[in-house]
Amino acid sequence: MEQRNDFPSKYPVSYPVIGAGGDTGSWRMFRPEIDKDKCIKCLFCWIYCPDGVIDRDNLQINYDFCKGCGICAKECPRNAINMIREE
Amino acid sequence: MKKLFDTGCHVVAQAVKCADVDMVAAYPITPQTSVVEEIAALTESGEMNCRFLPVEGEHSAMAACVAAAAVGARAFTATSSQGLLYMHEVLHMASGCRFPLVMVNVNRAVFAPWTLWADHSDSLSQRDTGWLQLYCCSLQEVFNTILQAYYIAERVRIPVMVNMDGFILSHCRMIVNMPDQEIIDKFLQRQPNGWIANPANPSAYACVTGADLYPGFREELFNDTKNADKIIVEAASVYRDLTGFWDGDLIDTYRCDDADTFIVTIGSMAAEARLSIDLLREQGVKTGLIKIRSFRPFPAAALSAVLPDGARVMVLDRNYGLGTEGGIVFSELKASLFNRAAKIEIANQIMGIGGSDVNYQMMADAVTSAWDIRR
Amino acid sequence: MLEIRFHGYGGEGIVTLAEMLASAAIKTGSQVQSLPSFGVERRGAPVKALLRISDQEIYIRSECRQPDILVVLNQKLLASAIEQGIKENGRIILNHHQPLDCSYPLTCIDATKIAIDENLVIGRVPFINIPLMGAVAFEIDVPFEKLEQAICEKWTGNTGMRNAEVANIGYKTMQERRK
Repeated sequence: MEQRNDFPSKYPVSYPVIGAGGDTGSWRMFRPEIDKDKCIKCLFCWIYCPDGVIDRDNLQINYDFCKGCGICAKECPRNAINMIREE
Repeated sequence: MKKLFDTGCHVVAQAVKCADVDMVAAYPITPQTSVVEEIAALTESGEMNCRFLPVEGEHSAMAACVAAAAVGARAFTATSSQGLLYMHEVLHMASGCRFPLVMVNVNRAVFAPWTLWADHSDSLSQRDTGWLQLYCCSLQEVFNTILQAYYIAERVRIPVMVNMDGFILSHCRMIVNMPDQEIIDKFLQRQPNGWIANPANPSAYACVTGADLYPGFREELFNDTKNADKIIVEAASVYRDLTGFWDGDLIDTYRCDDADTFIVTIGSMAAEARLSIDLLREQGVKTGLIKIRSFRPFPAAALSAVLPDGARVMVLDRNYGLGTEGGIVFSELKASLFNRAAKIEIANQIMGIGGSDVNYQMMADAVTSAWDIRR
Repeated sequence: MLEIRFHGYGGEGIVTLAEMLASAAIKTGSQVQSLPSFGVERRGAPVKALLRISDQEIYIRSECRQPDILVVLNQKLLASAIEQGIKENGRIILNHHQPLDCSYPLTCIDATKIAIDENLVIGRVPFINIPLMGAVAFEIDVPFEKLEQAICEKWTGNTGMRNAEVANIGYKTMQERRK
């Protein structure tokens, strides 16, 4: 939650900003990796990602915030996303 | 100035119309029903430029008002008794969100057993919800106070509940003088909004906060609720300057200047109690009346300033403080004067429960019997 | 301060009766308060209403136990109306077709007959409150034209005119009685 100064502090307002939930990338046990050869750019991974960490244009995953939940890999119709164990 | 002769419920509707309210959501309940009927009729005929939202219950009525306030609309609702109790959790939401709502509560005793008639157990049981509470003793005061409530709410960003006794005021017809609309508009100029929902700049509001943030918001609400007394005083005095009407600010006093004995009460009893004061004075008891107009914030300093050392104070409560030694106003008054308690005697009489009749003779008797004053 | 208490059965129109007298009294510059009985409203049940008229602001909010005038719309309610309280030197106006013995000064006005004769009847119900408006207005020194104005503001057009005519009959009947 970012504290902006638009309003006095009596108003419990918060704005959506990248990383509002903290350094969630550190929670990850398995890392999703997209196999560009199999990928048909259907964008299922982008639409299903609960954290919005997949870039719509170039399908880059932002590993600073990806928690490694694996939903993208489960939903990919071409099994193009592999979950790789983090070292 | 226009003269209105109508029932208390219809006077409420006229005040809401004069306050240029944008949205009303309400559910009918005796004795508030004709407030809702009249507002529905005025909006339907186009006489009142306002959205009327009929809802399926009071919980939704308050939720709808909260939503309206969240987009910057001036909103209103009215309820009574069980309806107010059903709103309970949303009352906390409205004050915690700092929305400047105004509600009229037509005081009615609470279930069980069922009853329809006036006492203050409905509103007083909501005293810790963060709403400011004002009590009225005449229809002119009801009209004035609804307008003042918007003035207050929109400046302190805390919702205000205006209370009037069921039937005794809600169904009584009295003359009300309505100030000209230009004067009301001047009094109720729209204030800059606090936070409002804006799709162009998305935000989340009142979402989960931990022990790091939550206490700060509550402390602000606590302080602002207490300090709202200054704005209540300001509202009353600005209103008087513009319209000439005066019903008191936090309190109103009658013949208190040289008094050593006092009646303290709220609601419609505070009107008739003037006659008790006159009666007691005729009998040689130096009595004065203090009407508590603002119960929240509780006017501790204002009361203390009026009461001299050695004062005898009779608190007349139209409610039971269940599990305490008397009425709720009595407990509040005692607590607020505790530091000078040795110098003030405070007694209590509960009367008028569930609409039982209270006349000035009974109120005077309460004073004379408490201190064994011979007449 | 003048206090009047009205007794009737639900549907006979005592609330309107009190309201119209109040509206007329306002036009004479008085302060007024009118209040229906506090009850669960049912047609046919005994109901009451009160009216207070004063030249000063009215602070009283309690029930009216010692009225100066009792207005009773039905002879069956007379005993109970008196029992509920009347001032020692109070007086009574009763809707009844013949004089009655009473411990208080009592004036009988046959408002039912006036309403029926004037065809002020809807369904089988005569509007007895209309002639009584006139009768009580005379009794409390409210000039008829003030009542007429109040009536014509409440009911527009022909209805108002008709009601005012019938109220005037009540007013004049009372005037006759007092001669």
